[in-house]
Amino acid sequence: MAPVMTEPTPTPEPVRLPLTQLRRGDRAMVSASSLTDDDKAVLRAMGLDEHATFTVCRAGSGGPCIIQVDAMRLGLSPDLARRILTRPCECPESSCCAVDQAQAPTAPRADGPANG
Amino acid sequence: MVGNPNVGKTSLFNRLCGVRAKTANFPGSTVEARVGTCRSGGAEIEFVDLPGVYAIDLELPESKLCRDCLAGRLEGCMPEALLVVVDATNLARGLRLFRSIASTGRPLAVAVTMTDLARTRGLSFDIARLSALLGVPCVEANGREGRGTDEVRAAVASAREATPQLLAASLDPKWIDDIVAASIGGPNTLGTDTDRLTDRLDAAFTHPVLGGAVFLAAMAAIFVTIFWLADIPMTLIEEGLGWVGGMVAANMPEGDLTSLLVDGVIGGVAGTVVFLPQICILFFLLALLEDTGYLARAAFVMDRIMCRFGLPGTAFVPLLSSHACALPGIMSARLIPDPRDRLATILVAPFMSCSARVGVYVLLVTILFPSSPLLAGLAFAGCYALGAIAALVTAAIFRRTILRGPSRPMVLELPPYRLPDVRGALLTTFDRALVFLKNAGTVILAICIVMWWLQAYPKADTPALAQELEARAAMVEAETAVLSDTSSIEAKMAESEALRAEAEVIAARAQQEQSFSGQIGRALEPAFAPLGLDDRLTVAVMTSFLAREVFRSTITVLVGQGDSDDDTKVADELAQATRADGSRLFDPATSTALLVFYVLALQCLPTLAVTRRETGSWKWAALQFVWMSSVAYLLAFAARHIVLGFGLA
Repeated sequence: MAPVMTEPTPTPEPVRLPLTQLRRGDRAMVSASSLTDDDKAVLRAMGLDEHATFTVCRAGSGGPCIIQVDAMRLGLSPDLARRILTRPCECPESSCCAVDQAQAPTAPRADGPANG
Repeated sequence: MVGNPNVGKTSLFNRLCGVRAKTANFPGSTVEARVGTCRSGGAEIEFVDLPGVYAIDLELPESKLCRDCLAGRLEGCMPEALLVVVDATNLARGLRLFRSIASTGRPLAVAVTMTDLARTRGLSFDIARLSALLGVPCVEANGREGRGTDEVRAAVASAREATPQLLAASLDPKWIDDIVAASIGGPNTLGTDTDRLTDRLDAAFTHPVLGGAVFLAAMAAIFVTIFWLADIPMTLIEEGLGWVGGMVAANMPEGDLTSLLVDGVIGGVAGTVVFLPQICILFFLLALLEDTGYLARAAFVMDRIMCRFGLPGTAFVPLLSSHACALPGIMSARLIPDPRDRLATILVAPFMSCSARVGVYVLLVTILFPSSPLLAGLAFAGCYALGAIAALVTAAIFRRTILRGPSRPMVLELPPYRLPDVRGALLTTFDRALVFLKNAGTVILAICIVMWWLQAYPKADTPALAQELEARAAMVEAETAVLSDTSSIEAKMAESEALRAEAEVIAARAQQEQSFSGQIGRALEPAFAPLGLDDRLTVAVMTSFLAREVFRSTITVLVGQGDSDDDTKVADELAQATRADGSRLFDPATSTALLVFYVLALQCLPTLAVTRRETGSWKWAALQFVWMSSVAYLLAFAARHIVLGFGLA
């Protein structure tokens, strides 16, 4: 009898949502982006580098996406916000964002872009 | 002075240097800095207010200017010490910039601003500890209220004398967090009522519909205020310079020198300087609006529309300003951070119908629709729409061809809402007015003198008919000597004046025809014939390149009538003017072609001078001129043939 091959349980991929799909009041961490290096450098200099946590003040449906990074408010055009992938935080503390995401489900949010 | 945008650096600079500051354009840089001096303990300190940057290593013009300044590569700018201005509410971001600047090894001092806002959020500062940790003098300062300026001067003076030290500890990744933790205390009350109010205002001001309505209302208020407030000073400038011209003419012997001074220098510069009140009011109101924090939000509202044409939302203000006059419109394009976006905006701004075009529009529309106010009104509004459409389409073409390239991502820091700094706005206005006057007194003055020369030379002999009319006027005047009846004397004097006016018109027409500008006009007549223009209309169009409003006075002289303040009367008389073959000079097809040409052509040499100044090159001014003239010519040609197609020749 041939030995039964058991497939290793895949590690769940963290949920990654475009910034435009976050809702007002959501906290999230920047995960990745499909921006040019120059654009990434500008965002990094403004405090929005990878792993930066932020709070959504205005969701990006039908207008700019407004987020709060530290004490600074940033407005991003919907086109730019769409190209920034984020990991939503499940708790209010920024330090737990990464921990949350390691356990998070993989399904994308089904209710589409949120309204602010 | 180096710092992030919106940290109050320029307010602090204005407080330190006041009106002793001026804008400096460094060779090879498209961004500018302000330079000013102040005294500290008997010594003079020269401050250079560099543009706000988020980092000095970015591939952006303002970052490059900072790098060049810090490296001592800017001509006449070798900093002995650097004042880093950091925002107390965002110390970590300021320290990131501080760390990169500290690596240059130059002496440093730090000014911490926005401490009042930080305190309202429950934060406390230990400035002495911050100074000890950074190893440089640190002071609190508030440029708006003028607090801490003496301390800033002292800190800069002491930093200048200190030995620069590199902070080895700053290389530690946790250095910034440690410094923030050690020098700031208290709970951060972000998310309090103030922030919720900010949320609500942001939601309203960036809302697709409500935000658009608020923006249109704000812009309408600005322009109504400009036209309302600028009217009196503009009239005073016009009358004042007219009076000066009259005094010069009255007190100098008649001749070329007087004509040069009165018509070339005073008359020419007056035509530009008259817009100074509009420029001052526009920049003052924009500075106030920017200072409230609203303008950054408004940029997003317009971005949705403008981005379809390759322009950023921030381009809306310069384009709207150009409806008053292209000069302040082009100058206000400095609000646009991306160089390509800024250049595209400057190139298309003169398409917007400025107030100088209104006179020509009124004249031609009245000729076209003498008995239909509704059609005249629609045609008038159509002129504005045509100019705006041409601007947006041109921008789209330029951004996809010669200015092709990615725009800077539309990400803006949204500063906190606050009451505007009136003193700072006044200083900004003063600075812009000086730049404008300097331009008017140099390039524009030179252009005016050249245009005067083209119109004044070669001298034409006074036509025999004009001499005869002058002689008759003298005879009529002489007849009054034997009259005793007042009404008869008045009638004779009026007759004499009419004869002299007629003689002047004939002499002026002869001079126009004989002058270089007239000769150029006639030489170009074949080129303008497809638009239906005869030699007189061609000369009138060519002289309009000095300024559009010249069209009316030139054409009335060339057609053989005097100018008048009554638009309807002038339009009626021009409508009766005929060509050599007896047909109407201003037939519908020609009038329509002329109207389209005036909407689209760049007939304003001061605009070209300002474009050259703002872009740093005549190349862009030349492109602007050639493109607009070509578009104007082609669309005027098309318009003429459409009208002819309807059988309205």
